[in-house]
Amino acid sequence: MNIRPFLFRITALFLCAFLGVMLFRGIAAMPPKESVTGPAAHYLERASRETGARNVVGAILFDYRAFDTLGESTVIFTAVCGISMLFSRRKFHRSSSGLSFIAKRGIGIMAPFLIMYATVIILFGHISPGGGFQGGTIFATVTVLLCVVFGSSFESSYFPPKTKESLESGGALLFCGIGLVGLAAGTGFLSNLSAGFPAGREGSLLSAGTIPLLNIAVGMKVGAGLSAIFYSMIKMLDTTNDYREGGPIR
Amino acid sequence: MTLVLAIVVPLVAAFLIPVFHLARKTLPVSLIGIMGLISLSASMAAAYAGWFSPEVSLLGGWAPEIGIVLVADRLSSAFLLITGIGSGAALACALEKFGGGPWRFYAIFFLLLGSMNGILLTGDLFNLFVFYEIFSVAAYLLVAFSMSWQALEAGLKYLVLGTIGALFILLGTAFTFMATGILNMALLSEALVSVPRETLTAISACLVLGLTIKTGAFPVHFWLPDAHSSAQTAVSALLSGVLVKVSIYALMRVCFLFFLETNGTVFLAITVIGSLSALGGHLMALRQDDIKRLLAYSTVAQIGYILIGVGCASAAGAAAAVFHSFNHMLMKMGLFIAAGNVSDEKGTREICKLTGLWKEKPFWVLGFTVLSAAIVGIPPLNGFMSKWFIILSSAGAGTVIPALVIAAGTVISAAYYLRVLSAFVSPGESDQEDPFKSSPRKVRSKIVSLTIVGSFAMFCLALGIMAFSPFSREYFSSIGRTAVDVGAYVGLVTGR
Amino acid sequence: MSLSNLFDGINAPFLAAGLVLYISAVISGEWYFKAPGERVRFRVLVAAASAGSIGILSSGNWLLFVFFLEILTLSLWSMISMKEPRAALVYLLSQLAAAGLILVGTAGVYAHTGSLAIGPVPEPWRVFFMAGFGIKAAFPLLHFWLPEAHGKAPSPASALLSGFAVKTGILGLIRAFPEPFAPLVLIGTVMAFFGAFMAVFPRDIKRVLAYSTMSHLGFMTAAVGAGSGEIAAAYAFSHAMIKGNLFISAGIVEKTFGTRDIFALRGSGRLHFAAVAALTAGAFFAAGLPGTASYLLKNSVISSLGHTAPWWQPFMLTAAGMMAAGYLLNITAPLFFRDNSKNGTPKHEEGGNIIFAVLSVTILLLVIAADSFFPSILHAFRVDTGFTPASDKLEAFIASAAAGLIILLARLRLKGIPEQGLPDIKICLSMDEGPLYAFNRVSGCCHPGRLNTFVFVALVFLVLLMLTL
Repeated sequence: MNIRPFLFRITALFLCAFLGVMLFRGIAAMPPKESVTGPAAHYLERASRETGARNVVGAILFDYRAFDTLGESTVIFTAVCGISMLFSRRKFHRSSSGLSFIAKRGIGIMAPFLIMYATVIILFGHISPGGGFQGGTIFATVTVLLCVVFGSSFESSYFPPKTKESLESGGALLFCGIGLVGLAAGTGFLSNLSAGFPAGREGSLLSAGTIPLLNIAVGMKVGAGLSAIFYSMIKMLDTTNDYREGGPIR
Repeated sequence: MTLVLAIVVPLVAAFLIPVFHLARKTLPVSLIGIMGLISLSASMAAAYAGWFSPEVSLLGGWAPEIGIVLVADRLSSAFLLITGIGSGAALACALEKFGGGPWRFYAIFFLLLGSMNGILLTGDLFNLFVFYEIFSVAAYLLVAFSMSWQALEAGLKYLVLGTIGALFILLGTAFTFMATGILNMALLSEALVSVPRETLTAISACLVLGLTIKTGAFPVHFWLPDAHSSAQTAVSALLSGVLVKVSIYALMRVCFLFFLETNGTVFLAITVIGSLSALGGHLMALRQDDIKRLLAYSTVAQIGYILIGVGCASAAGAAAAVFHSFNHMLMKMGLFIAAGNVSDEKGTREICKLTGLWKEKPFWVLGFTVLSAAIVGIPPLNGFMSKWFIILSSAGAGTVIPALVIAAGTVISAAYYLRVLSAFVSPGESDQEDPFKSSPRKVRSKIVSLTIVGSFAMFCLALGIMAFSPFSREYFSSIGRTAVDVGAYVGLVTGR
Repeated sequence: MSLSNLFDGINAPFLAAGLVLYISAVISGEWYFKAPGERVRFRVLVAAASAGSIGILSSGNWLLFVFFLEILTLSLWSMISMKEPRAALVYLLSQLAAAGLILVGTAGVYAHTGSLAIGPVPEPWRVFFMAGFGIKAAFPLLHFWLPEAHGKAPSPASALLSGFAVKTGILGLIRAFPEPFAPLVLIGTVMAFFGAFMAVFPRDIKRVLAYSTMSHLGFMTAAVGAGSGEIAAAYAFSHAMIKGNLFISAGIVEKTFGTRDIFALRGSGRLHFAAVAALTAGAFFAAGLPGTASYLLKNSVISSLGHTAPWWQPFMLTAAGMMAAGYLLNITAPLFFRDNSKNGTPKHEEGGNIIFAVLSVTILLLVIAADSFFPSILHAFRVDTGFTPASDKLEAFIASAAAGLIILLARLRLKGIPEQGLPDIKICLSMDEGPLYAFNRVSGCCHPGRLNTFVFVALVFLVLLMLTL
């Protein structure tokens, strides 16, 4: 019996345990906080007044730290670019013909509602919990379901990869464009109310300046991006299955 | 104002490329060239602005406490210059080699450019992490771009280790945020003084480990030789010349701002890592048969030199580190481009088979010779001067062993670069074999790459001589003074 | 850096030596190298080397000193690699190490005093200068490169190496240690004796001359250690002339007879006197016979040690001086006194225009003869050339007797000594064995290919960081 992997694991276990203790000591040493201080307190107190958004998380994500959001959605863009680059070699593939009739019919009924749900989550991101990321993910889920249930060729005929690409780029460009408006107004990149966007009445659909627009942009980017990732991968999976079993999955 | 453009313009270029692709299957080279020029001039404008008057730009108009700021001082400007020159050269090489075909490659390239500028300009710890994510994902993809199994394996290795590094950067950021409640780096440098000792240990260990993995220093360098050797020529040059420098910048910025007054042991650790890296990298390079792998290990060693300079925790050390970063960008990019081109044409990367090149391509060999002499540290080239400055600052900081490591490294690197050069000048197979043998396949002449190699070699010579003049020395020492002057940085950001 | 430094005190003998040597090396290069390409390359390299030498002599700070040393090193490396790339590599690496050590020392001095100017070195940094210049001047154990490089270089390059390049080490030592410094005396004494001892055994003429260089460098080091840099400088001048002459004439012998092996050259002086005449004449002046400059200078070195030195130091120096006569006799006597009829006639292989060879040797011989017969020339270099009694007569006698004994033993050619003389510490620079090989093996373990090993190492690294920070 080979003892080296065993020793290796035991050592790693001890190291991890030691590391955990050290990190925990770091947390334990911090003085306990009675109240929220620093920027967090500022956000809680003044977010709705300064940004017009009732959803504080949305205000932080799309106004105070909107630049981070641009970065995060760009990470997804990069990943999409990369995955489609890595899987772009397989030009021809045969799609599976999907699941049973019951599943197809069920999804057919559900899909419009799901799309509506995603749209609401995106559009009301500045009022209620939700926003571009979440809504975009739900939108991507719809395409994933279509892909699984109806087969990838059906999905790609409804949402061609080119459409997804242009949606994704369009979302990103929209985000940058909104940011550049602020820059042109002289109040800084991605500035919201200070750049002259209307605050509206708090709690209404048309309020909070750029935040709904940015939500839409991120929603486009994330939704199109995630579904493009899934499509590239399922395409790959379909072809490998073809080779292995001599036919599509029934 | 100009600062944010340096980040947004390359990103917009990257977003536009898929749109252009919808219109046309193959993008014209001139279009990508123009986009590259615009992006580079945006980053040069930021560098210019930051050099002559340190500039802060508040994103969204929010104060530094609650929003994100971009800061450009002399340190960031110097590194912006490095990335600008380096990525420009890499883009030119890639355009010459691939043309406009692989549009996704260029999209990723521009994303990488934007994220590098973001890392160099941001003044916010979490924003740094976000840009690091774009940067890393783009880098993994560029490594895997050639789609050979070596490249895919190297990309996977890079992915795993890079993700571990990113994880620890995030962990350090989280600890910092928990302890202080702020993310702005300038404000953090004031707030970290009152953080308890154990927490500071966790923060510094996590941040140093994460950033060290990203720089590719010795104990955690495993991803670097694979990634640098199996990528395409232009990508290897970019990885080794520019990407590593961006990580060095992040390490310098974070360590100088956070730990200069709170935890001086960090710099001792960086010095130790640097010395190990220099020694280990050189010794590993000595036993390589693959020319690009040799150059990659040499990069590990040169990172060690730069880290030794950083570890001095003094203005002189920081200035020497920046100077060596700049020199290493020139030398290693030139070496990678030259080595990549000659090995592409010979169809092999094994050093012992790269013979007879002196007869076939004298200019490539000449460029390689000058650049390798520079990297070994032969006077009057720039490598000699930057090594001398690092030795000087290391002795000034009272540590002799790193200086001795650099001296030893010079000898070892002379040994392995001479091996490569003697292979290049030795008579090749074609000299002995019969003339009826089919001539080697015709490859398009790489005039742009050759020009880049040649001009980098000239630049090395010029910098080596310029380093003697007090005028240029003053320029570099002002970078070092800016780097260690935490008070000025805090004053700049907070407006106090 | 200013050119006026060139003619300043201690630099003058080095400058004079360099001037004469470079002229005669260029002239002999015209004869030595046959192919026009090689000839041009040699001319260019000599120009670069002389530029470097002028820089070395005229530089006023350590950084520039090292800078120009490296230029000299590079051009000499290129000269050596025209004939023997392997020895050239050893030479280059050792000199780069030396320059690196000096740079580290210089950086330390700068941190200590805030100035790069050439001058006495403060205490903790002396060891770097000793080690750096020790490699240049071939201190024992640091001399591994010298027999290789001197013995295998083309003859004009050997002359430059032995005549000027190693003297830069002595120059640096004079500058760095103007005050008496006991360790240098000790090293110098050991070195003088060791070099002379090693010179007795090889059959290769140039290897004998290389070890002889080491022995003479020992004399100079001892003089530096005793605090009399002027004597060392004058010694360096005289030795540069002598060694230049010997190496060039060894080159003539080699080209003429096609070999440097003294066994194969037996009796060749009878066949072709002109070819060996220069070697013989040089050896005559180098042997340190009373009345020649070598004799005066060796005596001056020994007397400069003073009365405080332990008894064995003058003793060993005296013995080393005596052995010089012995080993030079070893390589010149067989040229005339052994019959060569058994081995057949050595082959004749002429170089280029013989006039050049004659001229280059003649210049050097004239200078040697001049400073031997008119010691006042050495006065210009501020050397006291009076006949100072070296030590007790008895000691001198015993030393001579010991030296003679060693030479006699060597004449019997102890069994089992290879052609290249006694084994030396060459092993240090071999990739197949020795320390470099061990390093190589260790570094091989640093890159396992498994991903979980990488993660494990990162984990260990983090734990170490946690513990130290």
